[in-house]
Amino acid sequence: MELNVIGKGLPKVDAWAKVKGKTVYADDFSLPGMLYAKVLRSKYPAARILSIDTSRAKQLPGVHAVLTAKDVPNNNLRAKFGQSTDVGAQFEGLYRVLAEEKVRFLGEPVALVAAESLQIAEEALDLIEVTYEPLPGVFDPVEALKPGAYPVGENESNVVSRFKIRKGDIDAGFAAADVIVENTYHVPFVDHAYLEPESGVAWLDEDGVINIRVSTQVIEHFRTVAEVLGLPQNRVRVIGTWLGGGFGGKEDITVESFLALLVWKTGRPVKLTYTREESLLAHSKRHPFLMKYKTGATKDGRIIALEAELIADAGAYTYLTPWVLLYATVNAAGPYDIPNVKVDSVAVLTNNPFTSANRGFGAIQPNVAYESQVDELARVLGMDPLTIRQKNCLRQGASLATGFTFDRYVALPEVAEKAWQALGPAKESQDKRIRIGRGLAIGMMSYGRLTFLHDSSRSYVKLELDGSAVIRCGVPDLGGGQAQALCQIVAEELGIPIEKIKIYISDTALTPLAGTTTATRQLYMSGNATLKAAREIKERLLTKASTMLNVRKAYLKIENEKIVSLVEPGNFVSLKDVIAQCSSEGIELFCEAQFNAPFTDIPASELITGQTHPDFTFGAYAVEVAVDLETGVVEVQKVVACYDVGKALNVLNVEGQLEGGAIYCLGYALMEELVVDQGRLKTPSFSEYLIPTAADVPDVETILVESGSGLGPYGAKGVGEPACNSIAPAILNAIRDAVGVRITSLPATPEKIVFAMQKKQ
Amino acid sequence: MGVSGFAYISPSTKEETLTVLSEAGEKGRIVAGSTNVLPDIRARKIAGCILVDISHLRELKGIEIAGDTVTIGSLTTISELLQSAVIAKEAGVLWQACRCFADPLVRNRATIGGNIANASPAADGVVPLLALEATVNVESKARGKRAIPLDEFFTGPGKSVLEPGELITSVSFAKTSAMKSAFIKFGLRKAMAISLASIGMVVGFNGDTIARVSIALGALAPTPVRARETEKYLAGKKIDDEIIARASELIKTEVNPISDVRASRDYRQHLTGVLFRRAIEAALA
Repeated sequence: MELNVIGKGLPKVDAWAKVKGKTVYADDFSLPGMLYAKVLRSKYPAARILSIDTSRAKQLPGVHAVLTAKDVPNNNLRAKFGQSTDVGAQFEGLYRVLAEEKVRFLGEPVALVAAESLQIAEEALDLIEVTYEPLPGVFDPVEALKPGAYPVGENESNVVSRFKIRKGDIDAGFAAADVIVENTYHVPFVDHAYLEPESGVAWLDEDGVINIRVSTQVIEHFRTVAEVLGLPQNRVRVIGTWLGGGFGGKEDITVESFLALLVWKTGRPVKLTYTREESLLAHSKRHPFLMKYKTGATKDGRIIALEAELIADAGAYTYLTPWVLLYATVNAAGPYDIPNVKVDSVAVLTNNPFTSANRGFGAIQPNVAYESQVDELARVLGMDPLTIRQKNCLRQGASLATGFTFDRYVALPEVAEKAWQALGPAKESQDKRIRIGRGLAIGMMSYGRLTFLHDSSRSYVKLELDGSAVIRCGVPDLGGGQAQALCQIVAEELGIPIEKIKIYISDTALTPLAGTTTATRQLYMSGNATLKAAREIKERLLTKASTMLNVRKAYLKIENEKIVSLVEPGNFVSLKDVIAQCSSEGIELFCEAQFNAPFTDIPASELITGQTHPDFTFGAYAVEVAVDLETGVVEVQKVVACYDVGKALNVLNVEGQLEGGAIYCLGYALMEELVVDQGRLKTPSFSEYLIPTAADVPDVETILVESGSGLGPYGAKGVGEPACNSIAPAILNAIRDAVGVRITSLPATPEKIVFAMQKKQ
Repeated sequence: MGVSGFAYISPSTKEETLTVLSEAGEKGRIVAGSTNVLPDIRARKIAGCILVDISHLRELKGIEIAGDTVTIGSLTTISELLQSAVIAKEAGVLWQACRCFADPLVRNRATIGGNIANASPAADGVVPLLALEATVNVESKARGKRAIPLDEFFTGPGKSVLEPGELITSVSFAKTSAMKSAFIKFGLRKAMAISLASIGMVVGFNGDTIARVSIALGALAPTPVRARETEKYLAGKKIDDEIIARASELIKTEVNPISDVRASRDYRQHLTGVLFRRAIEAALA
C-alpha cells in the first residue's frame, strides 16, 4: 500500500504553540475569583495522628476552607486505580485521600487549605496543629516481610502481592549447567522529574458539574473523584491539558480529589500546583527492587536455567504495585528461550514514599539484572556479547516462561546485531587514565495494557462540509505525539492534508473515552479506533464516489482531497463534492469506533501462565563508555538504539521517543537516586537529586527496523516505554568491559566504580 | 512559592545601602543575583528577613586594574568574569573556575560577592580567589572600610567574619600573568553540579624549580582551605614524578571532608590526590 502521510517525518501539530509559549499548561490557567490550595503533609514517616486542630487556620482572614479526613465524604476507597472494568481483588488497593489514624509516609497529605492567595494558604498550613505519636515504622522491604514486622497499614498484611512463574525443572537445569552465575542486584527509588509538576484548576459550573482541568495521563479518574465526593459520575468532568511530561507519574490521581473537595466546599474555582520539592517528596516513585539472580548455561553457551527472586518496595500504599510487580515477573527471565525457569516475586509495604507507574513499569528493573547476568555468562564462557544473545534470545514460534508463544516476527537477533555493529571499529583511548568499553543489552517490553484488563479505546472522526476533519478522542497527550499520530491516520485514510484536521483530546464530557495514556497503548489502541472510524467514513465516501464516477469501488483511491479512478486518473471527483452529495442524501459523515484489545481472564492464582500482554516490542542498545580509572567517572560516548517499531508512523517522533528513552534511563544508570533514609528523603530538590543536563547527554543514534508485525495501525508497535529499556544494563556492561568491575547497584556512581576497582586489585 | 514574611528594600546608592544595612542589623539580608537566597527562601532556611536588593548598584560592578592589583566589584557576575580578557590573562585560575561554575543561566545572575558572602565550602568562585591570595574589601557604617584576607574570611560552612551591616564592595588580588594556573572541579555531572572536590592552583617557576605555589581546595573541609603543608613541601623543588606522587599523598592529610548524600569522606579524600596531580600537570602543560 502506498502511503502519503504515514511514515514521513512530520512536525507535531502541537509543536509550534509549545515552542512559542502559547500552550496553556495546567498551571497557566486561571479563573476569576480563584482560590489557591496547599497541602499539609506529614512530618513523620510513621506516626499515629492524635489530634488535628484546624481552628486557628480557619480563622486566618482569606482562608476559605481547611479540610481533613473527616471532611471527605468517602476518604477510603477500594480502588481500581483508573481502570473501568473489573481487575480482580488482587489488583485493587486502598486509595486514601487524606491521612487518618496513622500516617504511613513522610509527606502524606494530612489536610487541605484553600485561600485567597498562595501566601495566605501557606500561612494557614503553619496554623494547623497536628499532634503525632511517632511510631517505629519499617523502611526495608526485607524487614517488612519478617513475621512481627511493624504493620504499615491498619489491618492488611505488609505483603501487597506475590507472583511466580514455573517452567521445566529448575534443579535439573542447574545440575546440567556447566557454568552458573549468581548475583544480587539493587535498583533505587527514582523520580519521573517531568518539567511540569502536578497541577490543576477546578471549578463548579452553572450546571453543578465539577470541572477539573488537570495535567493527567488518565482522565478516567473522574469516576474515582465522584466516588470520593459521593456524587454521580456524570457530575465530575475531567479536562486533560497538554502535559509537560508524564512518564507514569500522572497515571495515578495527583491533585484531582483535593481540587474537587475544595471546590465542593467553597463553591469557588481552586488552583493547586505542587512545588518541585512536593513532587519529589510526596508523589509516586519508581519501585526499588532487590533482585537475586542465578543463571546457568552449558559450555557451548546455551542458557538452560534461570532463577530469580524479586523483592519490590511498594512504599506506603498499594497504587499500581501489583501491576508493576506482574510486569516485572513476566519480564524476569528476559527475552530468552530458557527451558527451566523459576521466578518468585513479592511487593511489600514500607513507610517509604509510595511507588507506582514509571516509564518501563516493572520491565526495566529485571532488565538491569538479566542483561548483567547474560554478560557475565558470556565472560565466563569466553563468548562475545552478541553471540550469546543471538544464541539464546526468543524467536518467532518460541515461548515465554509463562507459555505465551510469539506467533509474530521477533526481531531480537536483528536489532542486537544492528545496534552492536553500528558502534563501528573499536578504538583505544589515547589517555592512559581512560579506558574505553562497550556494552550491549537487549530487551522486550509490552505495549498495550495487561490483557485481563479488557482494554478498549474509542475515537470519533467527522468530516466537515468544507472538507476539513475533526477528531474527538479522549487521549491525553504527554508530549509524546499521541494526538499527532491520530491526525496522521485520518489524513492518510481520508486523503486530506494534516493542516485540515483539528483534534480535540482529553475531555470526559466531550471526547469519547480512549483510556489511559499509559502502558504504551495509545498508538495501538486509539490509533486502531481512529483508523476504524476513518476507514468507515472512507468506505462511505468511496461508495458514493463510485456511483458519481460510475467506477467500481475497488478501482478508486482517495488522495489529495480527490477520489480518483485508478485506471483512468483523469476521472475523479473532489472530496468536497462527495461530501456535499453525502450530506444532501443524509449519509453520515461521522463515525465513532471502538477498538478492543485481546481479552484474557484475570489470573486465578499467584502462578502466572499464558498471555498477559497483547504483544511486545523488541529493542537493543549498544553503548561505548570512557571510564576514568582515577575518578571512576563514566562518559557515555556513543549510544545506538535499534528497535523494531513495526511501522514508524512519524519517523521524527519515533526517533524522539528513542532518544528520550535513552536519556531517561542513562540517568537511571549513572546518577539518579532518591536517597530515602529511615523514611526521610535526603535528596529533596534538584540540587541533590541529579538528572542529566544537556551537557551530559551524548548523541543517540537510532536505527528503526520496520517489520510491519505490530498490532497497531499499519503494523506499528508501541515504543514509548520500551525505548528506555536496556540502556542501563548496556552501560553497566560497558563499564564492566572497560574496567573489569560489575556494578550491581544503580546508579553506577564514580565512587562505586573507583572503590570496586580498588577492591579488585 | 510565595516570599511572604519578608521586607524588601532596594536602595539606590552604596551609601544608602550602608545606612539601610546598619539599621536592619541582624535582620538585613543582602540579595544580588538571588541564586542562593531564593532557594533558601523556598526551602524555608531563611525567614523574617529584610531583603536588601543591591543588584542595580553600578558602583559595585566592574573589573579594574591599578598597577599590579586587580579589583573586581562585588556585583560583577560570573559571566562578566568569563567574558573578561583581563581575568583570562591576569587571573587564569579564576577564569577557568568561572567556566565550570553552575550553568550559563546561573552564571548570568550569580555575583562574585554573593559567592563569597554565601560562604559555601564548595564555592567555585572562592577557591580560585583563595589560590590568588585575594583580599575581601568590606564596608559598613559602624566599622568603615575593612580589607580582610580571604583565608581569614570564612569560619565554617555558611559562616564568615562578615558582621551585620557590612557589605562586600570588592575583592582584589595581585596579577598572576607571569604564573601558571589550574582549576579543576569534580562534580557528579557536567553542569549544575555542586563540587564534590575542587582545586585551584597558582604556580610560579624559577627555571624548572617551583618558586612559589598556592593551592586552594574546595568542598574538602568546613571552609575552602589552603593546602599549606603541600605548598611548603613543593616550594623550591624541581618537579618530577616522585615529588608529585609524594605531594599528592601529603595533600590528602590536609583535608577533612564530610560524608553526605553526594559522596563519602573516603571518596572525597581519594579525589584530593587525583585533583592535585591533574592540577599540577595542567599548570605545567
